[in-house]
Amino acid sequence: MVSSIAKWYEKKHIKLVPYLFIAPNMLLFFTFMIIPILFTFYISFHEWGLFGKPIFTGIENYTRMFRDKVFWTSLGNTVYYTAGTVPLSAALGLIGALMLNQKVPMRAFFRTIFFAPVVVSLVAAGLIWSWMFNPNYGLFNEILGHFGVSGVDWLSSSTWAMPAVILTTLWVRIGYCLVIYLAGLQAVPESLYEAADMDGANGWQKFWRVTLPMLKPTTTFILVMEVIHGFMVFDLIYTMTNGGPGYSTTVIVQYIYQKAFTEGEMGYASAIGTFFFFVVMIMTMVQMRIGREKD
Amino acid sequence: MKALIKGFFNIHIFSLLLLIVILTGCAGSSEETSTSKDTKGKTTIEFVYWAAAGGEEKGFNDLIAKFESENPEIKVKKSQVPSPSQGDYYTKLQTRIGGNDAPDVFRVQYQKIGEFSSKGALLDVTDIIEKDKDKYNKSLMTAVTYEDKVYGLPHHTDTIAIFYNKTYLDKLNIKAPTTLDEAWTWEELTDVAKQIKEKGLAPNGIAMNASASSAYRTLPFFFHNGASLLTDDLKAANVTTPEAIETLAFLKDTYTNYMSKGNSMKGSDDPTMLFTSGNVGLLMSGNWMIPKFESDMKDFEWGVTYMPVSKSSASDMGGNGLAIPSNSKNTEAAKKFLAFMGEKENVKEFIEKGLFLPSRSDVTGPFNYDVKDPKMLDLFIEQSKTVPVELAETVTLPEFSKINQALGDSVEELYTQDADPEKVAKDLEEKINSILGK
Repeated sequence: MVSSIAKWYEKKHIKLVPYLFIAPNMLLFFTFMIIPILFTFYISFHEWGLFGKPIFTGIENYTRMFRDKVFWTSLGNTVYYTAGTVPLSAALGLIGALMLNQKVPMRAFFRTIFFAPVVVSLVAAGLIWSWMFNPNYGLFNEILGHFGVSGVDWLSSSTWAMPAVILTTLWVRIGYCLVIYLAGLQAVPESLYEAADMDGANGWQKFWRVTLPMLKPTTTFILVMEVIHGFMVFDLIYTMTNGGPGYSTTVIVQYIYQKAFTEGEMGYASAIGTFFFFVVMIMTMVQMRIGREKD
Repeated sequence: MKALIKGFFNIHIFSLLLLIVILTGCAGSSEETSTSKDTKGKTTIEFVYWAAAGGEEKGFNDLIAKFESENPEIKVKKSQVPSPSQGDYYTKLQTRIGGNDAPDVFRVQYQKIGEFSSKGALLDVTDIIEKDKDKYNKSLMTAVTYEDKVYGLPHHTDTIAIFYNKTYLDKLNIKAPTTLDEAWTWEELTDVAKQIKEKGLAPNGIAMNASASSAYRTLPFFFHNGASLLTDDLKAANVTTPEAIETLAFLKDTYTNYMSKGNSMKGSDDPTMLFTSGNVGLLMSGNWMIPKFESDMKDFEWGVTYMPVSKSSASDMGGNGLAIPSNSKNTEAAKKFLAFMGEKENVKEFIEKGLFLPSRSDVTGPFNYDVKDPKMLDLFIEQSKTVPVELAETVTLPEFSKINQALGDSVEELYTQDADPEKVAKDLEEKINSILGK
């Protein structure tokens, strides 16, 4: 009996073992990603507050979303935050990687130093940095004071709160970009630089014509990861400013959280979540396409 | 075609495997479905609560110990979590109740209970409360009642007043009012704040223990000035009256000139810490903070005085009830616990230890409050009599958590966005009306 089943599998060229291996992963993926995502789509057409039965309301949540001023503000803030963090963290990460790719002493030590913030919990980072920005006893205003500049109340100012959050993010994310770029740099074949040397290229030309094109896949990866990270930011802002002052640092994910869990409007929050899901998906698809075309 | 068949089989094998794993998973979990009775036939009930200041924690601990010794068949599992103003207390509770993993009893603010009861998330406990119905404070009964059924025990109440740094006030030769009739007017209050700041005693004049989740603590100022948030029938907003706009302007002025910038609705300042560290001279806060000040105000003398008045006096109605989720698995034991906590002498013991005010009129003094100066509490009891009935009715509406969010947003806008009070009032009126379905 057993052997006949085994024979049948063999005949049909079906390999059971690979599926067994991926089964646990797929199971978790379904339980914690696919099913909740589908449920979010479903609930976005309803009015629901965690208890009781969801009431079907059609597309009302969506029409309300487009009229909601705070929604647009937080969407704008998300873009502001992403635009402020992505280019800077990628560029500074690349510069750091280029420097650490030279034969500097204690290279491994510096790599560890730059990468360390990546493993720090964003909640802890947010808390530490909000102390550094504190107007009464913070490090920043202390330093500014030494140069005769009177400090600003960073996190209580609508103008300066977002730059302060972006600065904190850079501290965390530069290390991540740096390590990925470093790996990318080490994959660039030495022979290309030799050939460039023979053609009489200078350092700048070598960087521009050899290094950068060879890093294109790495750059695409970093940009995709950083944009997603920028769009999904929550914990850092939640601990540093709680979205304030006013709504000046409220980002989409935080607004979803506020609607869902503070005000108990699961349906409306899900509608924003669904909308945002498609925004992130389209953004990623566009980025992937751009990255691929130039290969 | 062949490829299609192959794909077809692959999918089937995959789903078969998935099914097997899921079934195994279910089988595993069904064995451990919570039977909260252990081998000795003891029932364990879970009690979720917070204890912000030292006193209330002792109150809960002592009463739970007493309850367990009186009811040896019941064990109370204490789950103490951070208070609503510090964390996501209600988020956790809602998720647990929604996910059918409800605790058996939980502590809940009067401002929040309507949100639970109106959605059918709480157990009807009318049979426990009924016999003492007339003895409870009327506003508190309103809070725990929804559609003529009682959904919680009005455990205790509290109110807010103005704490002051006596060391600073002595330096300014200012004597804080000692009777309600002499209470500072708005102008006198801000004048004290101004002097504290101008004489360089503290960087800030006044702080308020009111943040986005407790924006309702700004409501007394409306009532001081003869304004209100809602119309008398509580069916629509009423914040565009000249009195209400004047109140908003007063709040804005106070924040801009005399408060720490981090003491806004979303700011990260801890008003209690500002006060205990001497960084502010006046603090609007509640009676439950007294033990904290007794232990932390080491470098300063301090005292407490009445809320300021404008046209009339008013203060905030705070306090908490106890409720049982409708999907609690040990309702009998939970009800027993609730009834026990509501007994006269237990209410008295709790408020004496936790420095609260009684929720029942038949719990009478003298109270043996566990503080150095029990007289201080008399002031709060007196102040609590100034709580307007309409304020109590407003904050206990089922929709109040949404209204509170709108109010907090508006005050934050006034504070940090330099918004015009008149425009803020108009926006707030619109938001509240849409929440109330007007």
